[in-house]
Amino acid sequence: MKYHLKDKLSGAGNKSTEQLEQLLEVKTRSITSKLKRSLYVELGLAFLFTLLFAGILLFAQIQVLRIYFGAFTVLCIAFAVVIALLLKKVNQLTNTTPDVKNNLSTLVDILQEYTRRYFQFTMGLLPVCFLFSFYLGYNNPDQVQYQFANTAGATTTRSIGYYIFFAVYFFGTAVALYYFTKWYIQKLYGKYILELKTLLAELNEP
Amino acid sequence: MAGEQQFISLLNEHQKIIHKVCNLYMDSTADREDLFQEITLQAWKAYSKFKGTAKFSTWLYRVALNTAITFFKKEKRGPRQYPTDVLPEAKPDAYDPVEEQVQAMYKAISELSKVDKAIVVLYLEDYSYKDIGEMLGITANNVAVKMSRIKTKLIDETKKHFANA
Repeated sequence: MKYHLKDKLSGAGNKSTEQLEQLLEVKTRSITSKLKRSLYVELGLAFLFTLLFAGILLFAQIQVLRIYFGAFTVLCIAFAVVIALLLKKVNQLTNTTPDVKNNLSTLVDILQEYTRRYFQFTMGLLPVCFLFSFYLGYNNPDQVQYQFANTAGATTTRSIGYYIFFAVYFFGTAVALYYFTKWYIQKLYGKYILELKTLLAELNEP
Repeated sequence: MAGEQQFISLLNEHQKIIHKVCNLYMDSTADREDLFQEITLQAWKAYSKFKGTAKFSTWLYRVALNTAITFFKKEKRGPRQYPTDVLPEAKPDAYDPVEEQVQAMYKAISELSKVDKAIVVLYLEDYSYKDIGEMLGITANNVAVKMSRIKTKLIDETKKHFANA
């Protein structure tokens, strides 16, 4: 029976040397490759935005803008460091051949770390964006008054309408972004992480 | 370049391993092709770190199983396609009871979990429980317990097949 099963599993067709050579030139679509591509793109973008924000930080005339983009520069650098570390972990994983359990465990760790940091970064942007824009508006009443000129009841920067608008805008966007980010991360890796965890649990069970 | 030639030569010699893993983990021909390609690429990427302390076949099994277990095929829309290999074949004029039993067992194996499939394929290759444990990252005792459960499951499924036939 063992022999027959082995024979059946082997199948009939073998690939030629040329076919095998061609296979080495095709693009891989494993989860680690997908993750690596995402990490490279995000690292590139983080680098680009760091340069852009650092440029504004150095050359902007208005102090509030310098503070605003300075904070973004720091966030982008921190994000780039996290991405670079994750990239290193993924590269280490793809260059080695661990046992199945170790491979699954490392993969779950990397994916969870990535989704956690991605979520933290997106949520971290919220207070920076809103508090600084509030600070910006508060310290530049002329500009804000101009923007609110057509809003009923908005006569000065410190009018009640301004605060209500700001509060609704902040909480509305925060809630929407929170659920959107959760949904997006879940859609990208949620199901996959769950399946890997199930396999890991199966391996761990006595 | 010499490394690539050496790798291709070794792969050519041991490609049955990849075929076995692909046939075991994927239903359709297209998915098997995708997985074959993926295993080949992953093996090529990791080949520079292959020190030759283990047999190439053992190393290739490790790569193939790691890739197959973490490889999730894209879900296709439309009606599900059933694997032709596991569908009961039309009975030929000359009835072959061994073939029937192999077919039933093969169908039962195809319904096992990914982890159980890995144990089965290594067991069929006559690897010891210790070796299987090392490849999977679990103890030999754990492999023995799992193997015993798998055997019971396979016997039950095969009996069901013959009862329904």
